[in-house]
Amino acid sequence: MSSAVPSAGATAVPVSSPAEVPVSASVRLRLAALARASALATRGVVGLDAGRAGMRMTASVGLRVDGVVCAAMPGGRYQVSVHLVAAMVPLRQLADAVRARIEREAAIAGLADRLGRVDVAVEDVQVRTEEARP
Amino acid sequence: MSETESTRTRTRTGEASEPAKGSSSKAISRSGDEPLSSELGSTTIADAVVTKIASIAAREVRGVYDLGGGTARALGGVTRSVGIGDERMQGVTVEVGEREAAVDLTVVVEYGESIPRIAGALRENITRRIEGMTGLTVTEVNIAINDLFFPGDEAAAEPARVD
Repeated sequence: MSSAVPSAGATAVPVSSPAEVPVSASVRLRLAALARASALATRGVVGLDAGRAGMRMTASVGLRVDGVVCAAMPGGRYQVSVHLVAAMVPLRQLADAVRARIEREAAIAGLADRLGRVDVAVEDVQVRTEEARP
Repeated sequence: MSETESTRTRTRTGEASEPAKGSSSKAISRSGDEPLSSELGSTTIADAVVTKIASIAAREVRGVYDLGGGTARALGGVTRSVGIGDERMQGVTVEVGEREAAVDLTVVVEYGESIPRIAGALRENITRRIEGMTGLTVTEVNIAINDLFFPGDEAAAEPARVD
């Protein structure tokens, strides 16, 4: 990514997948991108919600991941909070599926030892999923 | 029919004739199977989610014409016309805790329908939907019948002033 990109979260470039995050990026940002991609790949997830002011995000060095908040925990791990917009499906099972997928993908990416709690917040539901998808 | 003259049925779960608020009765209550929080992480369901589920469940009940008081419905019409409103949120207030939820509804029913039947069906359907989708235990579904809808009310709208 270009170093000309401003570092402030609001003007940072949104990231949708881990592939868009450079290897040199922070673990925090890599985990956030991984969590976002994992959540979006889970059946029943319509989208992620960054909130009205767009404050639910993780930003670092000119990049930002919307809808995921990644915060440092003691011991070098990161707590990941994922804010979902869901379809009309059983939400508790959906949250468990998202959590499991994030843990699985983190293990594949070699980040399992850096992943802490995964909190899932269902912020909204959409009656017809086709309305949200482009 | 104004709200002050309206037929008002405010029934607490498990105490059909008791209008008192703050009851601890939980006749509809069903325990969730699993905790919403563990060392692996927590699951949070936003109030707006429960509100939307309750509203959709209420509209599924036969005899429910609309949700919301007169003012809410009038404002809802205006906000919808400019594309910022969501009718699914009007007439429904929820309180959501970590494991339980309580729902307050304001309902317009169709004239001729049995209000006790509608109230019972609302309570059952809303509880089933919320518990099924969120795992939260529904402790209360409080229903205020705000107005009656008469067939033909919509047709009596103001005639067009131009041809």
